[in-house]
Amino acid sequence: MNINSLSIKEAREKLIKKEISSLELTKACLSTIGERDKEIKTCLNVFEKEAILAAKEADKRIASGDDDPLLGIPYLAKDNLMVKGQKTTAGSLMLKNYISPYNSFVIDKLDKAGAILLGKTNLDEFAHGSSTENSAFFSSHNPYDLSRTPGGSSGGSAAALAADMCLFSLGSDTGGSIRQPASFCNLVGLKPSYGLVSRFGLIAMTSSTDVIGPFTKNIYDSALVLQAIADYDKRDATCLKNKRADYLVNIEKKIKDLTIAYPRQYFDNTLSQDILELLEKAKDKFKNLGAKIIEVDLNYADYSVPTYYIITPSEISSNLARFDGISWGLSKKEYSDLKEFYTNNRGAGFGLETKRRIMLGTFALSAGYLDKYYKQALVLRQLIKEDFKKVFSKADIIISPSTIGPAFKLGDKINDTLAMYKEDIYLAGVSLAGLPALSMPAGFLTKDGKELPIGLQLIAPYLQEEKLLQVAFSLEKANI
Amino acid sequence: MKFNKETILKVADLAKLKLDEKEIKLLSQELSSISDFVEKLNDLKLDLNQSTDLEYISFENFGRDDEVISSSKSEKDLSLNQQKRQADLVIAPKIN
Repeated sequence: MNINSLSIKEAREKLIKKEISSLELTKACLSTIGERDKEIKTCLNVFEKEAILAAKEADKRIASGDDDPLLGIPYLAKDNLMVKGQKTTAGSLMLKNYISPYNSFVIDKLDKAGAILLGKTNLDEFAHGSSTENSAFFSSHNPYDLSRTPGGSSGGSAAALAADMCLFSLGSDTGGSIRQPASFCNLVGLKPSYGLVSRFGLIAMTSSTDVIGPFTKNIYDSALVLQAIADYDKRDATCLKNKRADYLVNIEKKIKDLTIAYPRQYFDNTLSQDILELLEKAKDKFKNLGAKIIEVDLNYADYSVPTYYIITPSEISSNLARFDGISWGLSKKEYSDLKEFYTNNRGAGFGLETKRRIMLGTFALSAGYLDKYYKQALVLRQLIKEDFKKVFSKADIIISPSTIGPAFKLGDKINDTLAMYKEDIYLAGVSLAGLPALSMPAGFLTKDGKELPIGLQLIAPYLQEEKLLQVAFSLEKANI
Repeated sequence: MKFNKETILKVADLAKLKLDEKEIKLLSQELSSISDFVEKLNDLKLDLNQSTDLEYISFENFGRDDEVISSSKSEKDLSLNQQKRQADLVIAPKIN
């Protein structure tokens, strides 16, 4: 077994026992990037020298008895997170040469914890998409079948971890961008509650739903990374001041007597039989663990994607207005007046999906259409949130599918915008309601002679990551 | 709703986006089908005056004291080096 395929927990034990060093671990990851990334194409930038130096530093700290849980553990970060002195492109030509002047909060936290940043990963431009095909640079591939997508928008981070190029990675989730790639790449992808993790230094997409979270190989590792990054930060006005829970202390606690709800609307005849069977198995595991299973209604489930695709583009059209080529970003030389300067820069700097969303949002917010679209969507968002609240008055956790199927082929949906948007069907509602959720491996399905992974989603009440991880840990142990 | 070329150009003008003919054609088809899809929201008769505040987002404005944080020369360079510069100034594009 290669050391770069270890979980964080396993690697940490070996580091403490001095069976391996952080330098060896880091070099093993870098060499896997060197060997495999030519075909999987996950990294936009690799910080080889910096990573080697940081690993040597981590080894010194380990030798002096420092036992920070992430000390010496190599990771990759999505390229919409700022890393001081390095490029942050957000997968866009607009920011192709943009150098971050400061670290994002999460990168700072992980730096202090002694984790080793190996590089930055590919994404759909500005995190707009479900396949990485909207990246201005290249599409990433799924390690389980290179003709397929790893999902998106955090597809680079997911594919890299699935191919053992790091021990964990960071992504951002606005309407499913961590959970969908986790489902496609056989990983645990955690979307924390809105406001739990500071977004300082994350390039904004949809400010009312954007969150940062980890990809890991198991639930325990997910709790370890969350523990390291969840903290109050005054530089993010939406970051909660509450004291963060300890996500590890109760993780092994039994889930007997907890109630797990499955929404009727997610288990209807639109769900394929093979996914339904995997979810039924998970429900049986829960029953065996002593949990109670109940059926519930999410009456507005059908409205979550249309609501999401009004709210998200509206916020995008506003957030991306800052990219005009004046202070930074692509700046074209040909223009006759200020307006042309803006339109030329934005026309050349943004890709098609970004333009599509800016156009959609500008339209939804324009005079005469505001009530019909944006306000209507805001009211529906309340109803979706209330729907979840009602379910959580009688249940502890919701189980649902993560995705409508396993990874689709690259090229299959890129010309069908609505099909791509419907990828978020089980994921967008959770984002609109600000809830914590994760996708974890549910099993494998055979497609075109290949075994492809697929995940299931668990959803918890607001700020109940501790319970979410506890339930997920029990289910994982029960070997789905 | 049907997005014809005129509507697309009007929205593109509001969004300060230059689109080529191919994009105009494509976006008018796509935005038409996306708007038909999101039209579903209007099936419901909703009270648009109800509160749409999200309890987990604080809408209270908060201030903090202005703090002068010292930065090194290299940090200053990083912040200024995004476009062409002269000494401590960024050269902004000339607008006629």
